[in-house]
Amino acid sequence: MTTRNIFTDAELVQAIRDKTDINRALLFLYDRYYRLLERYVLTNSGNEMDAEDLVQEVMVSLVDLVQQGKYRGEASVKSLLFTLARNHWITMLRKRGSDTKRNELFENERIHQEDNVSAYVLDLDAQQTLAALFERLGTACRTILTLFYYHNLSMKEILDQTDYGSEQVLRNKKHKCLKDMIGFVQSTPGLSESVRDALQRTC
Amino acid sequence: METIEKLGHYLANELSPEEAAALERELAQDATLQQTLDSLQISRRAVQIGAIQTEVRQAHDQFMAQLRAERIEYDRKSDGATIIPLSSQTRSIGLLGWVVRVAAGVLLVMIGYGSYQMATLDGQAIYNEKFVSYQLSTTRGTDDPPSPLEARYRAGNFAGVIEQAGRLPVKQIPDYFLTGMAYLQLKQYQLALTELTQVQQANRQRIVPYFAPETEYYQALTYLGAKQYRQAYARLETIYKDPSHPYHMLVTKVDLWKIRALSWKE
Repeated sequence: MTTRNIFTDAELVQAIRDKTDINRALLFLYDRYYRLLERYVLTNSGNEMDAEDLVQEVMVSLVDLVQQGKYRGEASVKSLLFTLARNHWITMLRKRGSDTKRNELFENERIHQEDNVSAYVLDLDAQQTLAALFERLGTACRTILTLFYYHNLSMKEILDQTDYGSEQVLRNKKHKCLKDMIGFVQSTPGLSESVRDALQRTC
Repeated sequence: METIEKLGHYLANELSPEEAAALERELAQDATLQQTLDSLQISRRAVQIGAIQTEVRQAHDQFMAQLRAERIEYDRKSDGATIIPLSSQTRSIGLLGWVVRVAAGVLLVMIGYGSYQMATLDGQAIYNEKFVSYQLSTTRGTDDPPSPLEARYRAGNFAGVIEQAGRLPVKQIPDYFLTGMAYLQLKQYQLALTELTQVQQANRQRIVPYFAPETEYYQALTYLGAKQYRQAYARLETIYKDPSHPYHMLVTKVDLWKIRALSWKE
């Protein structure tokens, strides 16, 4: 694999938090830890596709933790990645209805070691529900809302990045996008309660 | 102030203490308003998670493309390493002697193969091998119907795309790009180049460029189709040297070698 720039943990956190160099930071993490995480899945009842799914979910959790300001370097990034991987893998196995002895062992392992993490990381179900909710939006809405709520751009800056005729047209479009999204939330039975609980738990 | 907007300001702590207190009193008495607030909060979190997932997916695809190539290469090398076993007879005439003989044989085969490749090099064949029809994403929500130009592109009506583009009073970057792709599909390379150059020029004004890697790759292909091999080589070499480029996987060292050879014949 091609050598990439080396990041220290502090540099990784900064690149992810500031969203300035997030792609390179993620590629570095993939380059350094993907094979280890894959091996973890392969030796614990999973296959290569499971590993790909798991690593993506783990990276989403890690980035979210950092951007929400909930990771302050108490443990190394590597250790956090593996804790997240273990927690998410147990959830995936549980969702599959797999109850082999091996999985029971993992459950025990988690109870002893990982409970401190689950207090501040969004659980996998909530994370996947939120991601699916976002995917229901059209491209235009995804772009506008991402620029506004993720990149924290002003309406004027978003106007420069998009092809809307005026700030008012853009404002109306953003409002409609949010209304659509709220509509999706309210029209999906149980979604609001389950995600709200998960959000409150990690606040 | 519109309810959603007001709730948005509340979540962002942008209301004055008095306004916030008044809203909280309203929330305590109005379950529907509280439900809207919860839904708005969930929606904002969904945008954050969705945006992160987009970033992760991009890095994931880049990395996996490289990893798969690396593993294929590794497997190929492993297979190659077992082709010539050393039998007891080979040992009797001396290991060094056999190594020289095998190396000479391999060299002869390589020279023959190289000469054959050089004589039969065909730019169009490389183009056909490298050309991957650009597909628009099929993920689309309910609020965002495709433009007439996009709809024609999706339907494979490339002449229709060009005609539609000609009628647009102002062309945006996606219009230039899809028109370029339509010209490329119709093998009208110079016109495709004009459109793709427009995409690049327009992107220079933007912080978030549209179709930047796609434009680089398809511009290289356009040069290849137009038999402008030096230009094609320069662009493909850039893509080859950038492992994070989404099209990196489609360019191999052998491709570069072939195109370089074609440029010598040019």
